[in-house]
Amino acid sequence: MKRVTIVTGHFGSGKSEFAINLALRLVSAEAPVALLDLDVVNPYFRSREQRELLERNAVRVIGNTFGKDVGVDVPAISAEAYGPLQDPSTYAIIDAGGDPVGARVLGSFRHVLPRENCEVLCVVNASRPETQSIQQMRRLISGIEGESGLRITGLVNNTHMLEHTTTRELRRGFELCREISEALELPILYHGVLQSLVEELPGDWPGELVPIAMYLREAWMHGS
Amino acid sequence: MDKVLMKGNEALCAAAIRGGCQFFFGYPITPQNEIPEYMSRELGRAGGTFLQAESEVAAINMVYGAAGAGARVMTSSSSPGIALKQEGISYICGAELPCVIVNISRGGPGLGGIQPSQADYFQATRGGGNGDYYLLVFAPANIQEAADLMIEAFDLADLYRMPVMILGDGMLGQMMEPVVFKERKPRDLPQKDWATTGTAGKRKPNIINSLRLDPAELENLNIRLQEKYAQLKANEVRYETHQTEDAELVFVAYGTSSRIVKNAVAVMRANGLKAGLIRPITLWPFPEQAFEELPDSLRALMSVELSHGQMIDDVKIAARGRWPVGFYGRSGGMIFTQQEIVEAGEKLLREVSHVSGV
Repeated sequence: MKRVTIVTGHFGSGKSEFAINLALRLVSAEAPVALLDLDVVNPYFRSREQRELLERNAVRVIGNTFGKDVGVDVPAISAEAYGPLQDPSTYAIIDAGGDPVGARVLGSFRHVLPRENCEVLCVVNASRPETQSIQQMRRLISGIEGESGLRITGLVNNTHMLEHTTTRELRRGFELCREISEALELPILYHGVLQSLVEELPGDWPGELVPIAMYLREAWMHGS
Repeated sequence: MDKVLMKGNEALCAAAIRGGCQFFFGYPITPQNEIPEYMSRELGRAGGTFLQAESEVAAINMVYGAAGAGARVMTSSSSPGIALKQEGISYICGAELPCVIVNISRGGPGLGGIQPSQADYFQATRGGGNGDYYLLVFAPANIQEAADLMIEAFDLADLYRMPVMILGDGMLGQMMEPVVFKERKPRDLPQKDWATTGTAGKRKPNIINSLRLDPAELENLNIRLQEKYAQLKANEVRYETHQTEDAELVFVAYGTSSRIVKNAVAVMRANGLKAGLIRPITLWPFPEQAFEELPDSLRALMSVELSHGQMIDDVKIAARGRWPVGFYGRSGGMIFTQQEIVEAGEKLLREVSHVSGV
């Protein structure tokens, strides 16, 4: 795995859950892990809301500068974020804000990213109305690349319907990812899959399965 | 259309466009910004017009104008922004114009915060502006319901010639859920023969106005409004009851709160305590009928709100002194857990037993 992983995508694609799960998975490795929440777009459901859980599991969390992350919608990011990006012994995962507008923030960190050791992921959720077709995904990817000044280097099939997800959604997402992969010559690197569905997926899909626990979803949200 | 995964704010917009919304006037504020963002992108494509006004006050007066010309029009904002719109809302009621107003509410008073809150119940149901008027107020509890009610809102606004408000807290606007947009039969609605659409030289001009200097004429308007409100009370009240049939304790909660309370009801029932829930879907008219169907086993009611107690007044009116009414709430963007509600409910029942000497 590359030392720096940047997670981008459409808002609501599941970037933050994926980033949290990826960070927690990395913890057992030899190097320290930091999660940089650079989302200045979304007011709710940010990965830094899970600071306590992440820090309990030895993931350092960096968000905005005010300490009161949850209630503050000032587009500010702590200069602390440079630390893990420049420290060659730390794994850094960047949870970028949604859409090209959220990816714009990445531009200010471009000069410190380790060029040869940096993965830029685009998370794909084919259940979202704005990211169901190859045309929509092309537009999104070129927008993210244009705003951030970074090239996307890999895809994450994170197609889901929250707790209502079935393998049907994941298969549809995989088909879409395969189309994008062929058209844009991008590898499918990960599949974000609910823990309960991991066993049901075919074993021959390219890319790694990341079992997803939904940390940002409160228990009451499962009912109606 | 297939099931899709949407944020509440997005689903409200997609539904509004399906409901025939032609104009959107608004001004940005968290946590409803996805609404103007979506409308700025999609409403033009659907043949309508999005316009970001210079202020909330300007936006609501643009709504007045477009509604007066007979268009389907909406605005949206969050708590302090809705406060700014109150004068315009009162004028719209005075001129008997249909429109849809969305409030994705946040903590107050004042500018407050950006996290979810239900402290705008009074503002929505008691009339934040001047005069004897009400809005039809819908309080969806999930995103599918929000989408369904949004489409209804445009029809009912036209049918009654009055504003319909969708009141959801910030959580409903920001959270995501699967939604299906169903095809539905359009309602038979009256022609808008009152609208200012141009006379073509063939009739007297229609006038949209809320100024009536003749007191008898103004009283007549008020009497007509009251007749309309009586019809709403008879025909448009909506609510859900959940496990009230044999309940000792019935919670009353709407929107996001009602979902947490439903979980608390399940926990209490598992512990052998018979709890239930009344969930108002229309906050005005308040579903007083629901309280007439409560069982003899009932010992207490408890209003549960993300505020320090506003709907509780309506619960007390509906209870008519027949049962003690307790309260539990959090505010400022803090959200209670189901455990807090379970404990509050158990405590209330203990207190009630003590008083009645059981």
